[in-house]
Amino acid sequence: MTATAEGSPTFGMTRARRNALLQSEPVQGLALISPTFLYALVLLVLPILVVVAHSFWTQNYLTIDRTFTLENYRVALTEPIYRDLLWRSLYISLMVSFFTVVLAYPIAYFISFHGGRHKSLWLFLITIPFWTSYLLRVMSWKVILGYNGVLNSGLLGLGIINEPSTALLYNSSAVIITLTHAWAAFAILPIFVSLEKIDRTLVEAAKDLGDGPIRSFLRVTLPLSAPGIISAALIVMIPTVGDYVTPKLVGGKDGVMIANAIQAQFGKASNWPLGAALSVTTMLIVTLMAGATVLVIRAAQRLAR
Amino acid sequence: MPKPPQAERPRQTERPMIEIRNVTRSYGSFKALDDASLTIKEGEFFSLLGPSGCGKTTLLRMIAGFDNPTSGLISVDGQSMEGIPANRRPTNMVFQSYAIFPHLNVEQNVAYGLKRLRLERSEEKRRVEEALVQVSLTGLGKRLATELSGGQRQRVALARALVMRPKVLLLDEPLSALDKKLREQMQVELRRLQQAVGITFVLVTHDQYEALAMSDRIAVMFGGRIAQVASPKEIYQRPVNRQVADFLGGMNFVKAEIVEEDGAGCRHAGLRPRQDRQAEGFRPQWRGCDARHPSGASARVVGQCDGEIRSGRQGGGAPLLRRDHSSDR
Repeated sequence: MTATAEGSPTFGMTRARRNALLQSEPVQGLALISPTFLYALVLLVLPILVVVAHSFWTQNYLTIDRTFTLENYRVALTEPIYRDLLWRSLYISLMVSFFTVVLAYPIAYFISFHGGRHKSLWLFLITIPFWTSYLLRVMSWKVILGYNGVLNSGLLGLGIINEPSTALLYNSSAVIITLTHAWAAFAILPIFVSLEKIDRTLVEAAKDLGDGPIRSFLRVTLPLSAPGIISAALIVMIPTVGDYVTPKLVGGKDGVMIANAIQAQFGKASNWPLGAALSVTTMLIVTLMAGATVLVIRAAQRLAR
Repeated sequence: MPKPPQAERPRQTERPMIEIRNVTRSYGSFKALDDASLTIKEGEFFSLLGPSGCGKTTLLRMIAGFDNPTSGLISVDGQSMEGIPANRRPTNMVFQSYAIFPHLNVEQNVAYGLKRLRLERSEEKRRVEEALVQVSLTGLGKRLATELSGGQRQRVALARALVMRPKVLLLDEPLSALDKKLREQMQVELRRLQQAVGITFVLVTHDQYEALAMSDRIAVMFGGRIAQVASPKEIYQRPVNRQVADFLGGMNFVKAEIVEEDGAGCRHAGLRPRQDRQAEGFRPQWRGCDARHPSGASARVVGQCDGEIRSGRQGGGAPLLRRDHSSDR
């Protein structure tokens, strides 16, 4: 800037400097990512900023009062109803990710170690249930767990129970069962990938050093597949905390989760700031829980030694 | 190389340690190993040598228990290995890729097999330390496998197997991933280690020089069959057939007739006089077929050499196969 003001002889130098700047690696790199970076900024960061901003404002009937307040957070953190809903959501999502990983692991293990030439066919078969809509899959669990459902009539027919059980549907267990089924494939895939990456001679080496099949699994295969377990758990846990379709359809009043409350605030109750505060609180707590899960699995991995 | 603690070192004896009887391994119609029979003696450094795909690794994996023979019998130390899984065999293996556990450090890798023996903490520590000393890896115990060089990884694999004090140590091309200099150094070290611990070593290799330099005896294999089992010297000097001779290094092949010989001369020249007095070939470093061996033995051969004559002698000297002795066609 000063150079241009001083006259033309130095003008060339600034241009040279500008060219050098434009050709430098960091600038070129930034220029290269800028379209996708802007895209990510607009679609990922802006919505979160909007939500965070709303959480500090107040709903004033039809308008929003933009003075800063922490009142929404006070309500979100102290009202027993929201606390209970949040705890229940965390409990349900923890259970769902636990059961999903436990049920997905043997399937991923089978495909990876015994799938032979048909690995891709097996993976393809696993995705088949996902060709139908998520809603349809949730509805079909109503058919299975319902009062006159498949499970009840089966148990009645076998004489195990005398009258249809009402304990199957419209509670948190029904939500856990349905979500576990719905997220299975998302847990199978990362675990499968991490199992595929394990060098098979490591398992042979464990056997050579005296380990039977179970010991070599616990000491080599399982710890080395921990990254897959971690990502499977996170992929399932994080979205299930915020799920509101499943609890609405199969949860009854016992299975209501925090997302249903958030939806109500943004919808019928028309209190966006409170809904935003609930969202932000949930987001933060989910982050903490995800971090804790990673730490727990890592610690378990170290124990396996 | 420090002395190992085991006072009773089984020196090389005539007692058979591994017996392989008529072992065949087929995959569909393809026979990876075809009716192989072999006896490896206690305390021996034995090499399975052959080009890739000759069945040497298949045989090693069957001794280790990772594969089972389609027919035939393998026994180790007088005990049949049929139906015994790899984890209950008195053998340990050094894998070609070394198979170092990436989630464990060097000490934990070496102690891996000992954990199952439930030794006392101090005893386990002592044996790990001892094994690390044996392979000159002291002071690296806390390193992760990912922080080691190729040569160091190989030593960890060696220590991990030796610490188990197996009756037989199986080595699957352990030196093939190392550079030439390190490989030569490791050849010497491996040999010295084997002499020190007195364990039977079975080495699989496709490197002739490696096999010749290290082994007490060598089995040369081609296409799933064992062609010759003998000492390195014998295999080099008196190969049973052209294939073996060719695989073991430069060889001049002749279509020739032995005109004059005393037995010793032919042997020194590397010629195998057959019943029809046809000579087969000789090594480049031997002067030639009609030369006198220092021992005074001599042989005279008339014939034609196949292809180019390879000479191991520098700066000329007598031609290997005199033109005047070879027929002019």
